Amino acid sequence: MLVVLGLNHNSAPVTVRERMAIKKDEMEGLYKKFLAENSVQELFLVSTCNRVEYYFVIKNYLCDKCDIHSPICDKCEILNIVAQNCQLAVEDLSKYTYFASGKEAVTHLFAVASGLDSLVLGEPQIFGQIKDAFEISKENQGMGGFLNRLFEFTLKTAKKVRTVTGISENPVSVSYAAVELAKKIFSDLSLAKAMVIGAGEMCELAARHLVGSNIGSIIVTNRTFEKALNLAEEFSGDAVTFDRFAQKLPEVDIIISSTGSPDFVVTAEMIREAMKKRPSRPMFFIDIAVPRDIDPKGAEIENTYIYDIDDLKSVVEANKKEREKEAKKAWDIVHNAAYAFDEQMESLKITPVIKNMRSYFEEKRNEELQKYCEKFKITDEKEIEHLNYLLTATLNKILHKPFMNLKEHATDNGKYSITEVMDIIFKK
Amino acid sequence: MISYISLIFYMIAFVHIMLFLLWGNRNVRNLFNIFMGIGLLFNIADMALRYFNTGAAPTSTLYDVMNMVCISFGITYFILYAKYRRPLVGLFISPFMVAASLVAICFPPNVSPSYPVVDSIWRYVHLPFIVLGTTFLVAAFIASLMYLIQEAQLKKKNFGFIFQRFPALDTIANINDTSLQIGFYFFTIGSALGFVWMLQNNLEEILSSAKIIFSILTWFLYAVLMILKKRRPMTPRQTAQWTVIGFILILVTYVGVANFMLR
Repeated sequence: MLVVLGLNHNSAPVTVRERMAIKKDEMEGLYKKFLAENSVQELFLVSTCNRVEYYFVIKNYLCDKCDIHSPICDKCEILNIVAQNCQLAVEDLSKYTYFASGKEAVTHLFAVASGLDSLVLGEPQIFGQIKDAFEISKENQGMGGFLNRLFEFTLKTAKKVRTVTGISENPVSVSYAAVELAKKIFSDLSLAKAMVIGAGEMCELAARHLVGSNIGSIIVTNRTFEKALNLAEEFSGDAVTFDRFAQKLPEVDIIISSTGSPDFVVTAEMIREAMKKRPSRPMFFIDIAVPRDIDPKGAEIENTYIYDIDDLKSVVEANKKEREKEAKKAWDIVHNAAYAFDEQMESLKITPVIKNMRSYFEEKRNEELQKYCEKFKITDEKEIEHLNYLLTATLNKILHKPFMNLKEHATDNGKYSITEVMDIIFKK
Repeated sequence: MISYISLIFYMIAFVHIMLFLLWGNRNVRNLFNIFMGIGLLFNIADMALRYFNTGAAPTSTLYDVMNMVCISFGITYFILYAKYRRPLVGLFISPFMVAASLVAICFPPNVSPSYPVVDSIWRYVHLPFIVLGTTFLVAAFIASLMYLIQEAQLKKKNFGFIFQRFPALDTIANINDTSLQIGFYFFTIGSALGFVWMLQNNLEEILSSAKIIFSILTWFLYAVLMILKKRRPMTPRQTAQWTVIGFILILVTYVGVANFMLR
């Protein structure tokens, strides 16, 4: 059975998440430690900036009262081990973590991989992180038959969510929305040049998105030239002094501004002058400063587009709503996939049962054949072979239908009484 | 019969591009291209079969001319698609193809008797160029409308599904420029060949034809636009506006010339 013990941005503050986070170099040791435990059959660990999750495949799960099966059940044993590992009291760990088992745990994993449990709904990075986590588990011998099947199902489900729903289509951060809007003006950002005015956090984030979208080149300007230089270096761009940025305006296509200036940094006049030198090429201004840096009157000039923080926020809000709508479709896919996985795993359980039954019947067939031959003193090998053929054929005929019925109803757990089960199995 | 098949494929293609506009599904977009391609192949097959079976040239009857117009629209679409990979131009081109196919079907494909004046090789060579030049002008008109719509949405900060599906502004502007340029080349070649044909025949009789006046007007518009663009860089909006105005002007003049002047 699959159980998950984890914590994320909803269940634990960053201080606890930091403590629970598993570093890359700790992975190998942890896998060895956990897999050495009797209760753990398979294991995989996920550790990202917003979540830490331990997925265990265990044999016996008999909580909430541990006194039925053993003094301590597998769940409590796992809690103890993890708490010990994180140097936390079990009570503290329980306070910040969530625990799920069986189908619920499978559903949770599918939802996580699809970005449904992420801080930013539908963010795509988690898919890669889960894939990497499975790979690490494979390297550390944490994967067995169950997790291998689960891995395939997880990838399939997350891919389906991304292709069938539009959950990750619309950007939900201001800077990302700005870059996506820029793509609606310049189809190929690698041919475009951007200027970042300011060197604060917002500018850095916007520059990061631009570079991530393969922008042609970046110019950074800031009142403190050193900061501009540092930011430009980080993104392999150029830095210009603040008093010279207006001269550079005609060269750039996208301008992102976020300074603390109380007045307009880019005036309508500056835009008009720049556009005179590039009338056929549009200019896209993104103003994420409050108070605004770019004179909105500039938008009246042909071929210029100015978006301020409110415009972008309204885009983001609309996109968030769109994602929430898409999330409903995604949850349906996740639930269906968890159901299908459960069905497959249940149907697989019947295989060893059928195998055992068949070997029992074959054993009995051999015993009876031997008894019969001894009783009637049959020694002729040809005759024995014929008798064996007859018995085997009869046995196959008798067992075929019940085994087929058994396979067909293998996943109908707890639906029928014993009498009904017998009736179903021996139904013609 | 074949023309019915191609009409059906164009109609299915149009439905698919409408679905793409609404849903944005890539598979639907690919299906649109497939259906357009199949329709176009049937159209070409029809024209070839008619030529081999009856000797009818692409200019023999209205049926044949409309078939050629359809093929020309198809070629225009696929040239632009190959360059820009933006199928939405097809949203506006496919209705033209459906309309041309319908007109073709409405007129039975009988081979008209050949007249000495039209039996020149120059006519057969010049007309496809003129038709291609015209369909590229239609494509430029479509791209111009798309540009003006998308630009207005960007200025008004209106981000509906049309905004999402339409290509980036610079791509639409490039589609417009490319259509104008290719169209101008085709039209110039077509007009030059037509001029040679005209010199061989009765100049006065041909000059009184609405089609000729239409051709001269279209070429003139193309030339003005190209000269204007060369002399001083026009903004994409200005190019789009001039293309739309020019196209409407040609249509109005053509209707006027065809209905009143040549009565």
